[in-house]
Amino acid sequence: MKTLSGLQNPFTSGGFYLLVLMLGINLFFCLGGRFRRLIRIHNRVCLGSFILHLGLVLIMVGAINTTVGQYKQTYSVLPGDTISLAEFGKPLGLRIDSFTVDFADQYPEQYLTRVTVVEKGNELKEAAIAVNHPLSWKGIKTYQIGYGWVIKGELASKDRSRPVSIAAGELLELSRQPYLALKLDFFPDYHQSATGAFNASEYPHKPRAAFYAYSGTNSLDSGVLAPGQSVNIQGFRFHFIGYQRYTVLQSKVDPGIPWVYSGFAMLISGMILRYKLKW
Amino acid sequence: MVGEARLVIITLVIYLLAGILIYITRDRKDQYWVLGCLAGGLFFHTALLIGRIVKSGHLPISSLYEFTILLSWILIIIALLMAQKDAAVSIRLTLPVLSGMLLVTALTQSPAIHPLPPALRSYWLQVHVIIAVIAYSAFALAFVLSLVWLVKPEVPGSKNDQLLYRIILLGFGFHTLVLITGAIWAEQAWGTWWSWDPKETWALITWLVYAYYLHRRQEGNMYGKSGVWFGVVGFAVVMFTLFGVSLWFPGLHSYK
Repeated sequence: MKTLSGLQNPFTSGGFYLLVLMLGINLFFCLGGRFRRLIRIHNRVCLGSFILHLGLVLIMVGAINTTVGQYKQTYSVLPGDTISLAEFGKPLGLRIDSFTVDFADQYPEQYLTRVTVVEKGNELKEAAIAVNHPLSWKGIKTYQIGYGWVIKGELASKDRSRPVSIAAGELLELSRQPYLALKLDFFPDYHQSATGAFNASEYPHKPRAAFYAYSGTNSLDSGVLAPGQSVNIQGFRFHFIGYQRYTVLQSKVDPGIPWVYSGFAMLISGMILRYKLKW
Repeated sequence: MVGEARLVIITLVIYLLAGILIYITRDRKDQYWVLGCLAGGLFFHTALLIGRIVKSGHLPISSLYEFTILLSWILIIIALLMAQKDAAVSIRLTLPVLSGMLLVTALTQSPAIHPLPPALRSYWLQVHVIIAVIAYSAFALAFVLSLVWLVKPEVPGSKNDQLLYRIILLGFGFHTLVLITGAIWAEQAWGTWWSWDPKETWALITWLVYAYYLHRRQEGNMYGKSGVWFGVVGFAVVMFTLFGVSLWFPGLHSYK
């Protein structure tokens, strides 16, 4: 939620942008002054100081470019799905071949999505996307940013039965009139304590689907299902079959990066030149 | 095997003893006792760090507890070097005291070792944090010198005044690298080179504070007492960035 004073997130408030604008104007004039001095006095200190401040200006230009020009999309996908990157202006796609989580002492060590880059039906490259190892292809970078669980089951009523696949935490609508819904959560390693249910680890030692049935705003029933178990809610029957991890990837283009990295290089070079000291 | 908290307390007690010895001994020949005491404390301190490396399988830089222990370890190394260079008693005394205070702070933090989360499994962790330890050590040393010279003022432009400036400059240079390596790593791990995370923001504020010092110094200010005051105030901001932000503003840098 954004508030007028920007207290919720001060970095998106008008006041903050005003401060950054003032810093930018200040830096710009400061750079002008340093350039004039550099023309007058040709020495290492003046040159270093100018390069250093030019680096800062480049970083600010990059930050503006990132804020204004960055485009990113997040995808929650299962193995077998294909992400279309057409919205990035390239006829590319990423086919998800597999998604695995490596564990060390029951703690996630790495999330790894294996993908195939496809272009107009042609397979171009096989690649792995993991945390700290994004895939960079034709200017688009794709990151491993998360994962979640899909609960798989079967929903049966008097007249029909259908398979359902729903992300943990989402609502499964059973009927509209009267409104009836199931909220399903997933616990890969279910444990119960005095304060409630919790996950002992992210490893599926004891997988359970927790359900909460609603009719309008009234709670009807709640409980926990093991794979193979079912629950009956007012003429509907949900049968919990299994679960699967889905991967969350984020693709982005950021036109600010080259500016920012050039700014970093100039900042370091300028500092070395400006403050080269005899110890 | 000696428990980790016990090892911290043993180290702390030896540093305290070293502090008392520094205070009561003025004679050059008695300095061997001081050096021996500091080296003894450093032995246990080093054992503590090596123990964590063996247990965790990585450098002790993945939690605030480890960072604090490492920072206080570096301060003792500096204290040993200072002791050999015949630095003033007050400087040699303040360094182990500050190191001890950091160890006390470490005792209030969780020493639990968890496997590194995926985002921290990168060579950037070593690069980024080791640079940060160097920067913070320089700021800590500047703070110690400032504290001492607040009591016994230095002549503006004197050798010590220049030394304080150079140490702050060293810290500033490395702090710049902390921000740069952090941004490059964040872009690789989280897909964004800057996210206004509280730690990032306060690291930037720290950088701006010391940049202000350097600008004022260039204009002919911040010599003598004002520069010394700045060494104290700047380090307060550094400590808030290190501990205050971690405690009160959880974010991407909140490690358990």
